[in-house]
Amino acid sequence: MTNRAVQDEVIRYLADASVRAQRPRGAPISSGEAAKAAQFAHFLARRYYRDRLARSFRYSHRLRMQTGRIAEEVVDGTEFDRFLTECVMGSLESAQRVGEMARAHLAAAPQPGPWWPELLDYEYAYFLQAATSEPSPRLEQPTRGVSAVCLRFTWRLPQMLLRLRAGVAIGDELQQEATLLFSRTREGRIYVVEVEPQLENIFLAVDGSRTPEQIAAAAGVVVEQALRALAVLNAIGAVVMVNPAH
Amino acid sequence: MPREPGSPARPLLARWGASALMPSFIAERLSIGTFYNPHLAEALLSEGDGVDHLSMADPPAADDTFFPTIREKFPLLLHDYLGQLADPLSDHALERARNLQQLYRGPWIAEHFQCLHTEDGKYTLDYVFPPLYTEDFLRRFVANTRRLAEFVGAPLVMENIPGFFSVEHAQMSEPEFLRRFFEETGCGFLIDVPHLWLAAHYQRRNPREYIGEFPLDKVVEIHVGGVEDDRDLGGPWVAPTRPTREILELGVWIVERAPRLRAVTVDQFSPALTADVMFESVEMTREAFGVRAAARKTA
Repeated sequence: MTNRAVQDEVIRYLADASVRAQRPRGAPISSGEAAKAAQFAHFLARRYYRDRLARSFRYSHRLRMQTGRIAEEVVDGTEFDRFLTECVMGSLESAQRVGEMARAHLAAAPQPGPWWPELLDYEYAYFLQAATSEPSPRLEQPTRGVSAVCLRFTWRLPQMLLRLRAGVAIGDELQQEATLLFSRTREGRIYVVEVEPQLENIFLAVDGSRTPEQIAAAAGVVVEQALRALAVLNAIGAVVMVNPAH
Repeated sequence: MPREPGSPARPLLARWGASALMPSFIAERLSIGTFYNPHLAEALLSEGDGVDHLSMADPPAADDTFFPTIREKFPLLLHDYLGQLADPLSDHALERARNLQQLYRGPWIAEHFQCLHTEDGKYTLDYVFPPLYTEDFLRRFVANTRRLAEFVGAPLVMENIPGFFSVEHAQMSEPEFLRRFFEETGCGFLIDVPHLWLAAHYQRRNPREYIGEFPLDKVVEIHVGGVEDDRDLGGPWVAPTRPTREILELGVWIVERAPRLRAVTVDQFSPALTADVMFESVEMTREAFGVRAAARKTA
């Protein structure tokens, strides 16, 4: 085994609780150091998710005087302590678990407005992008980005967020439908874009097995349209294509 | 595939231009600075005369309206995540590093002795983590660092990273690894004093004796900072708090052994940092290192 491969083993040991559970005394961590390595793994995960929660649930954070809660509080709870013994840092599954903890924690707070549940859905979807570094599978056919998700809202979230940032009241006039696509590029850049039904249909038709022609047929558009849309979705990480110029 | 460094720098360069007037880095005495925390930009501009330079851990955000004025007022040091030098940097990472340096134009750029993600990019620790100190890793760091420095066209300094536990397979000590690296590459040493203090603490070593084993003659920049107890580690770790007296004293002790030293930077980068703590930390550092604040020359 090369030195680089040994280093990868150490990184896996720290990032993946299941590796630690299988090999509590496994190489290259000596038995005398295994407990300290586990402590460090917990430190890394708690730090990682605290940071991602703070970045993602920042609008609900602005309302903490009304709600009495912030998302980061969940990393100090007993449920999170249990999660530390099971998590794989950066995986979609771990991000979903922590995101659900935060959403449930905040949903139990006094609601500052009828739009509160949708704001939490928005922040949860953003958190999935921020906390998922797991690479997307590179398949022969277009596939969705591992954390990419398309959500329909009954409130106009983009305008709502501007008002929350400015401390302006949110009126009923913002109760209009909007569909947002959340994605993350390989470089870690996060996009939230409003999409029309046609682009949403193309995104939803992507399943890792359909060819662009089949995606076009499933979405009810011509192939040229589908190819242009797939290139855009690929650029923002919502879709992964081995050969974007297919 | 390895994780790539973050947002591209080219749009930033296009937005703010590469040729704006910028202040020079202090040459006649030690420059005392801190990190650029965007939420404290307004305070830096109105009360930051005691800050000689700013280290940039992230590119300025697109909506950071203060950054152009910050760049006109403070010399900037590139201290971003440029890439993991245990592996060859991608063309994207090299280009990004060069664009950032063109934006900041500091006298040197910084990276870390770290290896935090797997080669296939599947796992990352998202936090500084040291490599195995072996001949193979030394070769990798030397080759990849040379390529980065050549591509960016700026001197490079490298920062030490502490380990919390020991790993088998090490073929040399950290001080030996660093000494040989600096001799082969000609890079400068960015010595992070809290990191060394922590390493000494967890190895139950005397900090001054431990630090004395490192190649202090290569030091170009010193990081000072605070430590706080962490619940998972059951002991101290770096924190965005005021530097401790002991860490400042160790820094001053290093100054006497570091003829190439040019800058001391308070290592605080956190959205939770307050302006009071930032300015008090810089002032404590100035006092400890015997450097008086100078009137700022604006561009």
